[in-house]
Amino acid sequence: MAVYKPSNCVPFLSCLDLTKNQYISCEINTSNEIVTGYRLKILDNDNNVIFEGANFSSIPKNVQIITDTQNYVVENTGLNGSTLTLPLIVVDDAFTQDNLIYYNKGEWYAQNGEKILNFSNDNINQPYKWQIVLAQGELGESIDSKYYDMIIDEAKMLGSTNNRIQSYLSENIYKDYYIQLYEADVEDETKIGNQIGVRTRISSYDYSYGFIYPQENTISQDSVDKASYFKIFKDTSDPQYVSTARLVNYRLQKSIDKIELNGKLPASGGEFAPSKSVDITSNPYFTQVYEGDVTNFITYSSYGVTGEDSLLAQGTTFLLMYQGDNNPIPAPTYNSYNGVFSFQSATYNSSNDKTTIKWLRPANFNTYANFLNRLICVRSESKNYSTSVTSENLGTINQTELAFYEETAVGLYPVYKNGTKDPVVKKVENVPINRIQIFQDGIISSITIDKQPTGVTLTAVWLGGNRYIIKANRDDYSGNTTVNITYIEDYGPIFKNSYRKAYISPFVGIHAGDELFYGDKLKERITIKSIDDEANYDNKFSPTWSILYESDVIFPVGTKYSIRSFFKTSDENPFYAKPTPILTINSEQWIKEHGQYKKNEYGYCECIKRYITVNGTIVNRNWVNYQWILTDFTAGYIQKSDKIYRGSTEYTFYGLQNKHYYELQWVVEDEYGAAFDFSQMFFVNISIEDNPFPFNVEYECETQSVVIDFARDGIVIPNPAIYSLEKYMVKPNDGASSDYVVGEESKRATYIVKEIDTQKLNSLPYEISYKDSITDGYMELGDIEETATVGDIEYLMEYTETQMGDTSAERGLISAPTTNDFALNSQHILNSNFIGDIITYEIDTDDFNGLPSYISIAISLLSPFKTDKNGEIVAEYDRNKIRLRCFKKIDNGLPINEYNVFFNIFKKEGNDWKLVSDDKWQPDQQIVSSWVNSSAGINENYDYIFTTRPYIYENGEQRIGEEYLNINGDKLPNSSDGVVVNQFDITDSTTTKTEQNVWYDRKTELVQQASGEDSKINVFKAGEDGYWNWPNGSRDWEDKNENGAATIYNQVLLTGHTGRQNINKYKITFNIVIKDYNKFSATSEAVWHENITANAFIEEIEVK
Amino acid sequence: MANSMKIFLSKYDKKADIRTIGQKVGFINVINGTAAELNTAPFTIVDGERIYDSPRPPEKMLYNNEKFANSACLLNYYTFSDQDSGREYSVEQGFSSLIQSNETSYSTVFKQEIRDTGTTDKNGNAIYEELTPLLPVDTQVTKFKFRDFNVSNDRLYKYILYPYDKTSEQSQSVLQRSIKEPIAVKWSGWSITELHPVDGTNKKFTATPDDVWVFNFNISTGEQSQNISRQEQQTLGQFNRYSQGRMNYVTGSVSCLLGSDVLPASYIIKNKAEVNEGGYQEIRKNDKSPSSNQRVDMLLAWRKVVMSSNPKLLKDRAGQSFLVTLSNTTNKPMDAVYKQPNTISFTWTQIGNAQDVQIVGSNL
Repeated sequence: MAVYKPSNCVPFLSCLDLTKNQYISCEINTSNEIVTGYRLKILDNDNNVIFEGANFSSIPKNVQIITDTQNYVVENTGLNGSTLTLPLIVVDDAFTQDNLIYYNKGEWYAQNGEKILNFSNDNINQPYKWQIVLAQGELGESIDSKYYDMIIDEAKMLGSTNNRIQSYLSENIYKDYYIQLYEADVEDETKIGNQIGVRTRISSYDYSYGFIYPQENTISQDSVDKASYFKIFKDTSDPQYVSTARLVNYRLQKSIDKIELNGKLPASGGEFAPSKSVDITSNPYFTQVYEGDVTNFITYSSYGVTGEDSLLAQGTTFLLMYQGDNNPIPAPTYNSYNGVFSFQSATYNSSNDKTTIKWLRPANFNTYANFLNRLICVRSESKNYSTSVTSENLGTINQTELAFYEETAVGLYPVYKNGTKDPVVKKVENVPINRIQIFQDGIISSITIDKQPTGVTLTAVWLGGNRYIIKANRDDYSGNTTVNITYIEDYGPIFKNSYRKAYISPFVGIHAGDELFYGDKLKERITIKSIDDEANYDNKFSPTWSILYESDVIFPVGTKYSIRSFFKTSDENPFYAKPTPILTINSEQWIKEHGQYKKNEYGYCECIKRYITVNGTIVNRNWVNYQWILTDFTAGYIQKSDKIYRGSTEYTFYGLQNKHYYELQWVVEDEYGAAFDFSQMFFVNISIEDNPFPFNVEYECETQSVVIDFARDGIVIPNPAIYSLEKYMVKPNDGASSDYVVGEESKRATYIVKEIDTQKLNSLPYEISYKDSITDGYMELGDIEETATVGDIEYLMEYTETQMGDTSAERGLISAPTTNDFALNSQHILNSNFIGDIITYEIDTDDFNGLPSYISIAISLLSPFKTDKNGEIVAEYDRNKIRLRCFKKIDNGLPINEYNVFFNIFKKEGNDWKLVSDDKWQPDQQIVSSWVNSSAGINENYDYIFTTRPYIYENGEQRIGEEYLNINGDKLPNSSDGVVVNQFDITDSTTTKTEQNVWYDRKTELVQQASGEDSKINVFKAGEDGYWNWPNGSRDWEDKNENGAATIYNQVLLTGHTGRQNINKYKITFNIVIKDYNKFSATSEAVWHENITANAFIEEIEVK
Repeated sequence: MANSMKIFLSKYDKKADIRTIGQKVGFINVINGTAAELNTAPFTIVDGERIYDSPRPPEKMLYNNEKFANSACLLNYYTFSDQDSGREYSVEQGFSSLIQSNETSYSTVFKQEIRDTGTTDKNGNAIYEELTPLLPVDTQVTKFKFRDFNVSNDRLYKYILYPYDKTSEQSQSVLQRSIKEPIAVKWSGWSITELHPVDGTNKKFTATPDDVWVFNFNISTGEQSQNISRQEQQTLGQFNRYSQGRMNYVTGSVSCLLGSDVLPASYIIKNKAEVNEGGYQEIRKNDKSPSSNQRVDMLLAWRKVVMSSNPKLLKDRAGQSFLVTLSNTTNKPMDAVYKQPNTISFTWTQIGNAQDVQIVGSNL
């Protein structure tokens, strides 16, 4: 027969909702004797008992489990190996049963209707712990001894003996300290009374249980029996055991200068003082001078040793501890000439009739540090004295005051506030400064100033034991203060077995209710009512292993016993208390009605998509992992997500089938390891129209894959467009569509198509018009009007998007060529004097290191002039060629791998097309400045180009006139020598000119630019004064005559005759062929020249 | 492969503020083809000089041209309407073959394994039984032509396309659907496809034809082991008890020739010498940067695949497919054979199920 600790206790670290029925279970372990009773206990996280069944309850045979989702009955057999299930909480107001918690209207109750406090969901002192005690046998008042068959412990009774003093455990007792026994005070047994015996050395101390082992057999059993308390001292006060180093013969309590010898006090000026300055020597003699010859009166009795009239022997030592007459204890001042002195000599000097007495500090007491932590034992009193010297309070001998007081015992037990482990703080008021204080209530463990006064800093210095002193950082301060002191008791009780109380051998596992068997054949028994096995305030936070029982027997130390039980207590099983979690599932794909999911009569939601994106929420718990399960009831398929441990709770199931019914289940595990699930049924209701959408699927053997192709036509949308995007919608050809408005009167672009919507513009700064013809249709883009604001226009026309469905949102991109070779063909008639890029293609390439990249191919007509490397404007050498500029661009980086090539030019001759050898679409002509004599006619054989320097015609050729500068201004040149204007503070000695509106240059020259005489113009000539541009503002121009008068003419700027004025007479058809695009575009170093052919076909047309 | 293209006309140079940029544009045609047929000024080089053969300007490719489908983009500036093809363009519109959306609208493609029931409907069409739920091939399709690599051998599939779904305006409208069935999958070798994870998930991967290694020759399939974790507990009773974890994966090994093609024998002139180009080949067909020794290129490429930490899709002849990682690879050249074919062998370890993942590639 025996019941063992139950196993597999549930709940264990899981979470319960205390407002609902809750059950506990465990597996019974017995020696096949039926378990019949149980008792429950619930503790909180601080081990406070929250609930405890008053008595054992019988184990119910059947327990009905009623939860939100279940209702069934379990049977309890009480047999070994069976599972015991018991109700823990019921929602009821019966309050009738022991070992059951009743929940009613927000409160929890025990059997008698007593409220259970600090027990609720989300209570801070969690986890709670439940414990069950299982019992066997007939439960009742007296249980037969035979059921007490589980031996918990067998040992002998303890209690104090002469060789083991038991008391509370103290951290401050050490081996080689001394124990002193005391009897209880006669009037008040709780107080310490007289000393018993002498101090005894401690040979060892048990830091687990607080057992003090004195040196064996040095204390008699009688003393222990008589004693009730003890104190601990650091050292012995028995002179025969005290080392000579701390031994002093006598103690002088009064001032040495109050010693009367032959009825005299020391002569005035002859008081006790060092013979030399204390600065000179470390250990001077101290002298006293008496009038007359007193050498025969220096006896022991004169110095307070009663009954000793013999003369003081040399070397006799005294402890001088006079602390002032006017300052009676507890507020003495103390003296720097205190300490241990040995008598040296007394010499009478007849010449002055005076006796000088010499004292000397002995070697072992002649420094201040000698007194540190040293007890001084006065042989004549057999008493120890402590000093005021502490490590915090060091000073210099003969200069720093020294105080002595009778030694105090070692502090043993910190004094705590009742029921807590918070130290008691004693406030001591009106403490004077600089006077040694005695704290009456115990040994000081810490001392602080309560509140610092203004203007001074006070420091509380502990002098050891119960002495302290307040010091100020200012000598003149003399106020009082208040100190806060925490302290320690310096005595402890001696534990002895007594009436209804005994000290057992420490053993974990003994419980109240166990039986202690003793006596002959262990026939006698007592019931343990309680056992002190847990740290608490009453046992000074260390178990004393005492038991209480109700019997008159007093157990002698050494009594053999056996503790047994008829029940077994389980381990503590922690559990948390929180409200039941609430799970919800949401989906955007379920139809809503009035803010709620629309459900049919069976509670099914309606899904209107082929996929469902779901997310779940859980309230009152945190999820640790979850899994979504989708069951297709119609087809019987199950789809599951993985068990997901992080991220959001969102998940998407694809491939829902129309008219199928599904159950969506969300299974969530919370942080306590409990799994919850929630499910929602729905059906899929979509209108699906099977259509012959171009869709091709083919198996490809070479790659063991399936190629899916549903590429289709797209309509390229222009931007800007004449019509808003809606007009491009491809409508069913029902004949009723009024959306087809192509051909409206206005050709002016009024809309610009942006990425996703249509933005109306008031106007564009240029015209867009179309000629609709299968043979010669075209789009015409006008020049940008001179006066118009251009805004952010980059190109006059962009083709970047396609329309692919019936709604404006369905857009595609323009497909790039799908073959490795492709051609870019286009036909253009450029406006007269066209400058810049005609057409630009940007074609995507494979991503480069994950970044998007494209190749740009632009056809451009170069400007007739350019800025050279010196910053001067010269005619463009290749102005009559057509350039193809290619580069690669990765993401938003700069163009890389740029390549420029000029088109092969083919011109039509008759019906044939002939290559132009110099790649020029028209021959170059002679270059002249675009600033011309206003009276000169326009020579069609010249290209009038704005340049910095004039071109000079020499020897039948043109060269750039490096020594000249074109006069690029439109005022009347004047060669008069009459007027000089000092526009730039140029000093001129010739005359004083006052007219401000005239500007002149120093040197001009007439040069011929081209073959014809009509190309002569005035230019500046380089000289010491350099060149000046035509100044801004209204200025006349005058040439100085000393350099020779130039031809005077009115100069104007000729525009539109750069040679480009004829470009509109040609139709240009480009044929750009790209070869092996995939390969050459794959690297950043594309090999352009091998892969690009650029042909331009120039055909003269008639300009209307 | 290029994906999309943009065309711009008359660039406005903001800095120079040159406004004479107007023009008439007769047509813009971007045409697929071969360089030889697309170049309208063909030439031959004779003695270092180009001799052009009847150069002529390219002509506008009309919307009804039979080579229409060969064009990537046609802007012809005339109104066109053709009821047969349903094509209709206004004067300012043009044609472009749509091979992708602009990435704001998605199409979805599913597949489903099916079985021929052996019966027909009243129109005489075979009736197929659906065997699995709709398995997503790709749920965010923007490219209208792509590959589904996640198929296994000896199966019949049905492919279902939902074009342009998920657009905001379509939430309640009628869904378009197009179905293609049956698609039979049949091959006779093994293949390994290197998979490239998308968005860091282990649910979607991309692959290209270049990632596919087909093994056709001298295949020797090793033992396949199913690895599970089942512990035996001895009890006092007559029988042991077992507990098992979730571990369950397959390992195996394959040995085969590295190359997958045998070409008919043909002799061509290379560097003025007659060379036999046929026979067993060890060549990566889609190698973008081949060296002059393509056999070694292929071997190095294979080693690179083995070294890559990307998962691989292993498809066998029986119709199994696994996500695997490779190890213990060796190659052994046949010393006595002229081209020294490499026999490779490797062991594979399953690291995932191919059933739940999307493996597509738009690089065709």
